[in-house]
Amino acid sequence: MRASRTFAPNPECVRAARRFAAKVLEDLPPGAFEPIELMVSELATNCIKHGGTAFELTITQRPGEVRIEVCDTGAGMPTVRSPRPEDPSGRGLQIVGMLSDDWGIETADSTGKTVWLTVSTRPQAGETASTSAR
Amino acid sequence: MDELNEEQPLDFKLGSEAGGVPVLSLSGELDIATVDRLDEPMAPVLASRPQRLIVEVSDLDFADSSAIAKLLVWSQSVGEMELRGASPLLRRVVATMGLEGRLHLT
Repeated sequence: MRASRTFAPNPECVRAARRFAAKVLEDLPPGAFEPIELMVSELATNCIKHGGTAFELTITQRPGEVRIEVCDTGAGMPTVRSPRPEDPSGRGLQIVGMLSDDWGIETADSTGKTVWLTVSTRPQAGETASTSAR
Repeated sequence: MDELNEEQPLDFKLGSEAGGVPVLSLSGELDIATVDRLDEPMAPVLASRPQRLIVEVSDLDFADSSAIAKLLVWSQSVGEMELRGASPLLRRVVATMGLEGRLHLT
């Protein structure tokens, strides 16, 4: 199952992106959504802070795995920083690295970039058949 | 987008505990769109450089790195900052980032 939506580059759309993810992933087992919600928020926030252009959130759900992609056309490239405890910012991608199984950044032509991540969701027995159809 | 028509989802209450320790109780969602709304109410508290500040987050439904950034800024103005009632996920993030020394999880 794959769902996609484009959001305007304003701070309120970070919450809208989380709501969209919640709706798409409403069948996830308890506890599986919260880390994904947080990572969606971090990626969307990065687009607002560094890109300043509309961004597209794509959610792909497979049995036992969710893939999140956030694509924007902003010029800025996200960087993973290693902030010291006293540094207030720079933790968005650190959180993504902490909570995802795998993640990366892809550039397509000169039109922008996609930050993607995957996370395993361990579907509960009996629920996979209805939720995994692509 | 209908998601944006709902009420802005951050509520806060500023009070104090025995001994005059300031307590900020948060509910709703703390992210890039809402976090700066706390600047004005918190300014006088931080200006008084309290020895302790308690941030009660057990009713907070969501917090991301924008929230953590704000808490760390505040922590520079207080002796000891206590993060009370954090969710398992928030606790994990704070602990993994090595921030427990600044944001005491209780």
